Amino acid sequence: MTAPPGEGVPGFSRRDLPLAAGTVTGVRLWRVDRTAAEAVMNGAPVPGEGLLTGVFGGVWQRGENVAACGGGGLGAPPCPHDLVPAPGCGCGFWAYWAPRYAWRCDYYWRAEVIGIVQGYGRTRIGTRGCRCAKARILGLYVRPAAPGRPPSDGPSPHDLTGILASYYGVPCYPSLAELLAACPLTADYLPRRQRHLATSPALSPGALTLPAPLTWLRAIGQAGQPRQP
Amino acid sequence: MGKGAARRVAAVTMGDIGEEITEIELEPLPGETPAEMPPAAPEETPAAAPAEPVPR
Repeated sequence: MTAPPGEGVPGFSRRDLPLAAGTVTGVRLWRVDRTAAEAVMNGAPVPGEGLLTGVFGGVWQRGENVAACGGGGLGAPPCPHDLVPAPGCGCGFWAYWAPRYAWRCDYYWRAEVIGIVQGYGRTRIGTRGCRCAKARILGLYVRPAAPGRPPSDGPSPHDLTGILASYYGVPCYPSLAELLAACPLTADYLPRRQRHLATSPALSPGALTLPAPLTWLRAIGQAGQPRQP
Repeated sequence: MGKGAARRVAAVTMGDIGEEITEIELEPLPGETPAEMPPAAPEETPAAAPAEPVPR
């Protein structure tokens, strides 16, 4: 069988993508490996490869992180290294163009840390976020403990702020607004009417506002018009 | 948990980057990525290339 023309030649293979200079910045959330964080706090070696983990696994390290595919699930073979992140798989580093988009995934609601990452290498770009082959953390924010929730064992949010900043060598900001101001998110791919979300620290949409009952009745013609002044 | 909240959890259980616009190879400009940071402590810096085998 003959290889397609250009296959194996850098820049001419069908696997090669359009090349662009630059990076994207997106926001994402992590859980903290509390055992590892406690070890750092106590001056012990980190038992794993890092302190921040994705909900399905995957440990983020200092500096550059390079994605590898662990298989598409159900025994599927891993994607070829030069195709990560592949379209039919979930591999790669995920990040979003706005905190609200990151937050909408239910498993993130338990995440303690929000951060902004710089993505590059092979990158799939969507209207809400991206998946990248390479990424590095630019800045972090540790969420305060939820009110009413019993305090968890291990380092407090304040302690985690210092531990993460020291371990990852990046700034850890006191608020999400300050994190977004210091590390602006890529907004070019958001629909124009939603670009304001890239600078908004709101994690969820505001409370639903329903029309007042009288306005509602007027709308369906069951009440009189408002009195003119 | 309210009915609306339950529906929202059930509807979105995976990451969602929205409608895919393009796939490109991004090459950082010189100086765009910070210089490799020195390790926090020798024993804390893994030597192997980092990887995220599954999303998040």
